[in-house]
Amino acid sequence: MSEAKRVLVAEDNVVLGDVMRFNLQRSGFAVTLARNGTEALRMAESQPFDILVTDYEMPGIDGEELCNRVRNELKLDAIRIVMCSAKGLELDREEIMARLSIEAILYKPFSIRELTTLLENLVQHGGPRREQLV
Amino acid sequence: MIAAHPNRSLTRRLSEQYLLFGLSGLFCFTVSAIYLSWYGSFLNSIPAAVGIPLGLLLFGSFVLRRTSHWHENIERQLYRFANSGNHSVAELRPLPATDSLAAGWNQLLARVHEHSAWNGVERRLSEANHTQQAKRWEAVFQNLTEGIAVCDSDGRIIQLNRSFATLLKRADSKSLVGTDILDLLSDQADEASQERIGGLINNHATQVIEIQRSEDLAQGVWRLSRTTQTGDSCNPTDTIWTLRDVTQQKLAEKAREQFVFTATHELRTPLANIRAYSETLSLAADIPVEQQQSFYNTINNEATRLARFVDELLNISQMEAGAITIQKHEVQLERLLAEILDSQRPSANEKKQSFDFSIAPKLPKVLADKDKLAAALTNLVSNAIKYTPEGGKVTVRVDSDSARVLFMVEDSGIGIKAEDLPKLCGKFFRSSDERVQAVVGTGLGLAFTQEVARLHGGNVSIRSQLNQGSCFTLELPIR
Repeated sequence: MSEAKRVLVAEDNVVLGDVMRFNLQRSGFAVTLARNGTEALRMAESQPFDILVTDYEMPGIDGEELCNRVRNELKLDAIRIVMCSAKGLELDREEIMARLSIEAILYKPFSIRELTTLLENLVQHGGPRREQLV
Repeated sequence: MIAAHPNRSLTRRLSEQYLLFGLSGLFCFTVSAIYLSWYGSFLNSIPAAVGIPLGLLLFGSFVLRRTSHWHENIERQLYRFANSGNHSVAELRPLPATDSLAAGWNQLLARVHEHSAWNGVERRLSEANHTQQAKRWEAVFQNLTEGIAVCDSDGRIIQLNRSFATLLKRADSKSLVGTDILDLLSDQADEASQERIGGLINNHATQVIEIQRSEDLAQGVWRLSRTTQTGDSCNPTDTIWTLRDVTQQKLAEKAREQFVFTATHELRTPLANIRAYSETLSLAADIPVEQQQSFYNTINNEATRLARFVDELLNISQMEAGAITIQKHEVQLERLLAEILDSQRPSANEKKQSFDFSIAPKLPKVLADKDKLAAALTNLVSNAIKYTPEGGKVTVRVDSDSARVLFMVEDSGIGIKAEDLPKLCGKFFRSSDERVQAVVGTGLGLAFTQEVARLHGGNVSIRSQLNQGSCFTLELPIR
């Protein structure tokens, strides 16, 4: 990897966001934290990112809407998206992943290591990998 | 004349009389025939010889008829009675005689009349009772809280009670007789509900459905059922419809579902944090010591947060089960308050709020359940912090007089709408204000606080101004 990949993390749980940033930075990513969907959207508009990691349940603009807007309004098709969700059962995983071109959905509480590994894979292998890790 | 002996039957008497007169006649004829033939003029004496016995026989038949006179009367009456159309007992007449036969007949008649009179009274009483019963049922029908309507095969209302009209927001029930029940129901049903009503009609078995006015359950949800009538006095093509307002139950159900969702979220969040931090610490060998320290602190805090929430859940489930018990002991209020304030200060600091408290100098010792009281007060303080934006102000004041202690928690937060105030302490209630919805809450904290206050003989009062702030006061009697 020549230059650090830029990751935007949208997570309303500040404590969790902090440790995610800590770990991802250690793996060589350039991490920006957004505390909710609105902030994330603003940042995505103003700066380039390679990866978006977003929580599903957030106040205001939630994870699904954020992805929707990123894809359809901001037209950022190249961004790889990973979603974290506590709502395991109600989400129609296949439908959402197909519709919004999401690489993977992680269920909380997830393993930090798995997240890091997932992002590293995304960056190394280029092509989309539709996997769901638990 | 010849008196009838009561012990001898009619047949016997008649045949005796018959024989008597017959033989007498025969005897007379024989005697006069011999006498007259002895004295010569037989042929001239034939009229006398025949006449006398004949006269005797005629006289005999007269006596026979007299003997059976009353029997004949009775016989005739009975024939008439048997042949009459209505078998009316009134047609039978007593006999104006004094012998045993007449007496017997008259007594029998008297008994029959008595009996028929009693039957008449019984029938009238039963009718009166029936009408009384019918009136009572009518009263019950009208006063039921459940709405009931009876419709004919075309769906027009034949009969309905007051509640049916009231539940459908119509003032007068009588004016609705004759209207089509579907028209009436459609007023209160959204599209989906109307489809369900259609399904109800097409299916002939008894069915129960729910109809609602709109997506917003608070607008009204009703349970509607339709059944055909059974029983002898009913027309089999008529249908009975019942309507019950179940809005409160549906709202409570929805609130409970919401609560479970919120509770799960509140449990998962600190868990996710604990896992992430402990995993980070275990995998990375080269984290600077201060960083490690801060991570351990975070884990500790999150674990505490989780523990507190589990306690809150326990309190709430006790309250739901109606099983909160309090055990009163002497409580040191200053220490209790210090603990609460210390535990809540970090949250206030995070939101950069000014967190003040002023406690009156000589607070009396109060008899209370320390844990429950602490939980109740903590709830008030944490609410103040939660519903006040960043940079706001939360003040806790404690005062007392001779009879009670007042805990006042005041904030400069988002305030409460006037129409929400009376509902605020209701279980699961959360304001629809989007600022409230954005904050994680179960809707049970205030209900719990109020219950604890009540169990101590105190209460909770609320003052608030929308967008400016609120003041919650928990009043506790000293003894």
